[in-house]
Amino acid sequence: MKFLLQRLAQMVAVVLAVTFLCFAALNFLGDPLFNILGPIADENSGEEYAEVRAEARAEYNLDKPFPERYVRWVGGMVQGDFGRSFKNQTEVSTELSNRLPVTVFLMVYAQVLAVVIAVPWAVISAARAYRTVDKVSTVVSFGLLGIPVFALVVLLSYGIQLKWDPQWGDDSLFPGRYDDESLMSRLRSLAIPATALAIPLIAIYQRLLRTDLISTLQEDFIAVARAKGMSERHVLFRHALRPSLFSMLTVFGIQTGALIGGSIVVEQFFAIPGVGRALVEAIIRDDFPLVLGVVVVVSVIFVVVNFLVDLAYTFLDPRVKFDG
Amino acid sequence: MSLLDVEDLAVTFNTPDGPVYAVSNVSFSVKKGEALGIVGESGSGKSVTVKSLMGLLPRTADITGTAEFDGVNLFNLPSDRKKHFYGVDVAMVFQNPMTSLNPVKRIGSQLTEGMRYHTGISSSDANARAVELLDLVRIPDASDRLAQYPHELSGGMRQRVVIAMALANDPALLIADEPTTALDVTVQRDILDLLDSLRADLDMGLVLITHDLGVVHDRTDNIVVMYGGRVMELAPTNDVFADMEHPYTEALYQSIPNMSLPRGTRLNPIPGSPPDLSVTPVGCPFAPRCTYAIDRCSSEIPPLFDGGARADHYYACFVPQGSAGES
Repeated sequence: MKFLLQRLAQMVAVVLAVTFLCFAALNFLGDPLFNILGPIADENSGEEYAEVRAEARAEYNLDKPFPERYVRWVGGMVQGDFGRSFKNQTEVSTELSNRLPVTVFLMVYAQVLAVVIAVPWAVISAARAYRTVDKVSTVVSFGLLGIPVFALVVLLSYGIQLKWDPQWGDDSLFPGRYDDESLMSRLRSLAIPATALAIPLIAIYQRLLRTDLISTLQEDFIAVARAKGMSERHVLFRHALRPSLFSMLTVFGIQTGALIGGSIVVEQFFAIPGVGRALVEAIIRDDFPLVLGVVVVVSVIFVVVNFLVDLAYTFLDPRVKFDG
Repeated sequence: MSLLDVEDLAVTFNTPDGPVYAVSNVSFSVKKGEALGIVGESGSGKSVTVKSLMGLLPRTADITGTAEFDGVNLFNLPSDRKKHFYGVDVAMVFQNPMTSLNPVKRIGSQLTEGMRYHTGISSSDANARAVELLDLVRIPDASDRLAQYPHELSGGMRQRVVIAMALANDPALLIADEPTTALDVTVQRDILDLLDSLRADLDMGLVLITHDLGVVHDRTDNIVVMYGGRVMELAPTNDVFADMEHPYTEALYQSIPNMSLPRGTRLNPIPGSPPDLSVTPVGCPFAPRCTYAIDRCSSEIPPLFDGGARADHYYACFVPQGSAGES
């Protein structure tokens, strides 16, 4: 219990620190009022706009000192009120709740795809360590690791969709149709973006898990299991796999951050209406409340996923205890 | 009739630095209900010998010779027997109980998985049998143990669990590779006595590997003394202790600490170190450390002579120290 409270405090502190830095940066780099109103924010632009300026200052608390502004913003944020977008005056919270499920779906899709492919691949490699299958796997996974996401996106979309199989050119594969409610059609429309995000993850997970499996397979309890006459498949999946998952799981948590970065590229390229795309648009338009909203969401996702990873250690190994 | 007959076993490891002759010309046999002790210091090839029998050596190992168990050669198991052979007909107990159990699996699941895999019994029957086995190896509160993890048990208890696991499918032959080396002295005797009584009660063949002649003294019927991957002496246990032919056996015996000697008496270690097994042997592997060695010892490998007081007493030495040397 003590551990959980400590972790919770830590998580809150991380999110606050991240938002404070962003809030400060956005407020001091450039005049917020200018970003809201445009040229008429200038005091010399004419008396007729003075009232508009005063209204905007009041609405966005610009007449208050910076610390108070941050505290007020945090106060609203914890109640789910992220303020209104500078540009189209919509509630940031509405914008986020529309876009967040799309991004989360894409990220979960990519992670599941990566784990489902990487785990069996790593097991096969480790079982045949230093033999032909493993050597080829090493070359392939390093190759996959070397391709940046933006290049993958281009390769996958033009390569597969248009050139090699024109039938795929049918725009049902294009995520513009994401609005469709059915799970199958969502999976289908996000297949290429999710694959683009998953490929580097597959390579990382495969490398890590393979190495850990090879060292686990040297353990005495593996020889004991073999001496019991258990099949090699049983030895690999029931004895060696679980104690070998630690590094992969740790990196799984960390890669969630990289995945958010990757989803910005992918969402932009495929015009997927997710949080990543919202962030790009918000930054281009200096839409501070929206930028901050996305930052909050992204940092909360990252912190929560890594907390879950820590909890998962206790399920992987009964010797890991947080309290005691 | 013999349960296990090992004939001319040789194991060579092919390493990047050339071959390593880990085991050469090893022969012995074990009868039903009998115990065989394999004795030797580290690097004598005793572990490699039994690992080859269990099929646990890496692919770099080149095995020649035969090991007949119940009429089948272990090194060439027919595929129909392969699947349910190890863990059923032959089982093994390992040296270090602290690492022999999977740390993330419950005791119960590790005890029952072998039964379920080989005999296909139901999980409740397997659990009942697991409790029976834990009782058999004298673990208190057996039924509570099934849900525990290995780290909740002491080393001695873990070794009992490992033994129980090995016994799960009533093996005809149990191989124990230094089963007490990693345990506290006070627990060692308990485990050895347990193995001895299990052998007698279950009428199993037992191969007991150790570096301690004292361990095999009153718990085995026959002894193989190994050095440098070769058999130095092979005889019924009583004959070995009554009439040691090989200087190495003698040296090994004299290096055992003896509590009855007066305080301050120094131990009698064997000078020198074990041979380099990557060199093709030309003479007796023990010759460089042997106080009785003659010129012939370092130029010719001594064959196994049949001699001593009894006909089934074998030794590989040109200068036997026991009754064979006197005649």
